[in-house]
Amino acid sequence: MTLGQRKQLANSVKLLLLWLAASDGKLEESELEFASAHFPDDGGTITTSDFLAVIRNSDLGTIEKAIRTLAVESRELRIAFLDMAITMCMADRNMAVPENHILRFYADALHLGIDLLCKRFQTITGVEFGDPGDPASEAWWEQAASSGGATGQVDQSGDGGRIENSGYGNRPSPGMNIAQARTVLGVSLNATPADIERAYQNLAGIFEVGRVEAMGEAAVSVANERFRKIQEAYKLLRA
Amino acid sequence: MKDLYSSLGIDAKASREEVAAALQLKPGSGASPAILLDEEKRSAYDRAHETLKTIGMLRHRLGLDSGDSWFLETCPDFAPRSRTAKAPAKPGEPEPEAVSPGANPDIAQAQLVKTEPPAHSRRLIPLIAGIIAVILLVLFIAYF
Repeated sequence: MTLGQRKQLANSVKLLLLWLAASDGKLEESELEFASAHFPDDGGTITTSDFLAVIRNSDLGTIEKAIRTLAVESRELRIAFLDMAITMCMADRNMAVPENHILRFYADALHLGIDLLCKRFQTITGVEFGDPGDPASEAWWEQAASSGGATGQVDQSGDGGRIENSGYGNRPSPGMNIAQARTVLGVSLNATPADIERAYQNLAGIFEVGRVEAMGEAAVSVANERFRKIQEAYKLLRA
Repeated sequence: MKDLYSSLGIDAKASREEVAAALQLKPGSGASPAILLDEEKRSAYDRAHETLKTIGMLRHRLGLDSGDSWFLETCPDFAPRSRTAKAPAKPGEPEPEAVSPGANPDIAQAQLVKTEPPAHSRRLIPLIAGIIAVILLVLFIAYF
């Protein structure tokens, strides 16, 4: 892969992950902080603000180009991208309707398919990949209210518990509690030490930096943060 | 998910008053006042609406707008009416070099790379040329 191709791929990954991060409608100060921390400018001509402008303006041509760039990469790399996208969506254990649709779109456009998306989602989060939901329907709003969801987000933690929302969940988490640790590893209340070990090994393999480094700094940054959280949760549950 | 704005015949950026007037004019549109006149619910609906509009147009541009799919099944209001685009290339297939219309020129230009034939194709060219040269030589000798 030439330097130009590497840059092209890194830019595409950065743009597609940012679109996902911004899709819940919170592209304000905290998102800009998030973007600066995880997607630092590489000193090139394109800044994070340029990427955010593409998203704000729904610049279809550029998003299409990014999709086409990623779609020709190896299956392994495309799956690694999908894994990161799932992780970003579910870092706060709440799946917003737009996030669900974008994940489905990525699975289709990257020739991976909805079945694989469901499998990866289950593996990474420990819960099933749900329907997007229909905020045009009153019934959906009633259901969201009864399950404790709000503002178009549906709790998909599976146990009905809402985990404290720490932005995108990728910042250091002083004082992670047992419930949060279980959520990070995707294990149930009744998980045995063997279940915890298996979940840890599985997730640690998914977020190994070597698997994503071809996708550039943004991807490595997200994988690193997630890996740190997985380790923290594992240590807590094994203690 | 339905496109409530198109069923009401108004723009997605319509004011609350405009929405209320449209709801009164078209009571059978299927659009719920409880959603569109509630600020929080409308805001959540609008985010999903905007995302689906973008996805619908992207699917059209990428040629993903035909056949069975979750999108056509659950969001037909956001699906384009005809298919004209080319699907994204699969691994190993060459990607067209042209920048799509509307692409951000800075980012799209930075993303452009020169495409070359695959390595196995490049190796075949001298081999085929050699075979043709041998055949021509044999024909030339046989003729004389």
